[in-house]
Amino acid sequence: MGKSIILITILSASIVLARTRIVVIIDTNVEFDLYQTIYPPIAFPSYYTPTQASAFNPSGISLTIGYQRIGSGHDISDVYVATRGSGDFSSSIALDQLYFAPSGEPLPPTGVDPPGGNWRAFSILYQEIEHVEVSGSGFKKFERPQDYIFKAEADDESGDHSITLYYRVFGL
Amino acid sequence: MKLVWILLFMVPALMLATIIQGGPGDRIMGFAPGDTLVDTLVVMVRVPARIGLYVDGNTEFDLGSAAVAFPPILFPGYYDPTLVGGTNSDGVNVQVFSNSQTMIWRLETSGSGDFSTTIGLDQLYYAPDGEANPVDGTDPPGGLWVSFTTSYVEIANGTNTNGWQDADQDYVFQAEVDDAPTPAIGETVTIFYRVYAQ
Repeated sequence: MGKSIILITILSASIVLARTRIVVIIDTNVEFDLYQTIYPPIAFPSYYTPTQASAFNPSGISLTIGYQRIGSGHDISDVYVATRGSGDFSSSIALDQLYFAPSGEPLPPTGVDPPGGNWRAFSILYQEIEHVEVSGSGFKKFERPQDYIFKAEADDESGDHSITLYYRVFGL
Repeated sequence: MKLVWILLFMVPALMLATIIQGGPGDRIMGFAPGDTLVDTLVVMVRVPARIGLYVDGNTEFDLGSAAVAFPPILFPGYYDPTLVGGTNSDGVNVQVFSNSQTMIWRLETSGSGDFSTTIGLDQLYYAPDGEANPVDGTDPPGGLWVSFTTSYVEIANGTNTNGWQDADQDYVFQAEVDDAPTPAIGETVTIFYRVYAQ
């Protein structure tokens, strides 16, 4: 029994002492208030940028990820970032009408479906945004601002509808 | 004994492997391997309840055109537009939008008044796109043709349109025996379309 306790202590210590601190920061919620836009559009589908978003990225959010190695052990090699949504906005407005892309992606033209470019529709399953290779010492920070667009479709019902987006970060 | 060993090995991992959650503005931190960070934000979409109307465009009946046989062999004679503003060669493009789940929208039309002292507003007829032209000599024209009046008349109604719903209208002009020649620039009326929901 004594040997077991020693082993557990050593294992725990090695995990604690040779781990990598990981960090994630999102700065804001996002809103698409179509009352503030020209709605209905002249044709469907039509794409809208957020009316309320990040002060640093007016087209979406500021997403910051970081890591810091603690100890000398090479405990993880990559930090993974993925995202998903909680579910549909309503019975007529699906989750996949919300798209994300790295900041700077152009707004798709009206009438185009799917939007093309780097735009990806949200789903309830996690989709990897990217993974960052862990190397070197010191704290490393990566800005990965994400743009959002909402695809208005002909059958969208009126009303206020919200969902939750999740950003998952872990190291392996 | 084997089970005890497995449990003993799993204890540190289970105790250290956690999901750490936060929201906008939170600095979420943890350690890898082991921890999973989950940051969340709320996305709200506000879709207004709206009605919409699209009309295109102006329409002309030039009975002096070389392509038009005027006077007709038989009065009243019926003429298609010789010039249209939109893509409906027989009249106007009309589209209606409503995304209300509960209210009924109504599309109505009227005219401003007579073309002249001898050419009445009611010599202009409208019908849903595709209606066959009346036969010369028949009065009234029959079918779905309706003469314009200065009072609003309902053309169509419905609930949620699922986008822009076409309600294109064809026009015919009914030439009568007492129509006095118009000035070279013609005589005009203004046609109104209105949509409301209740």
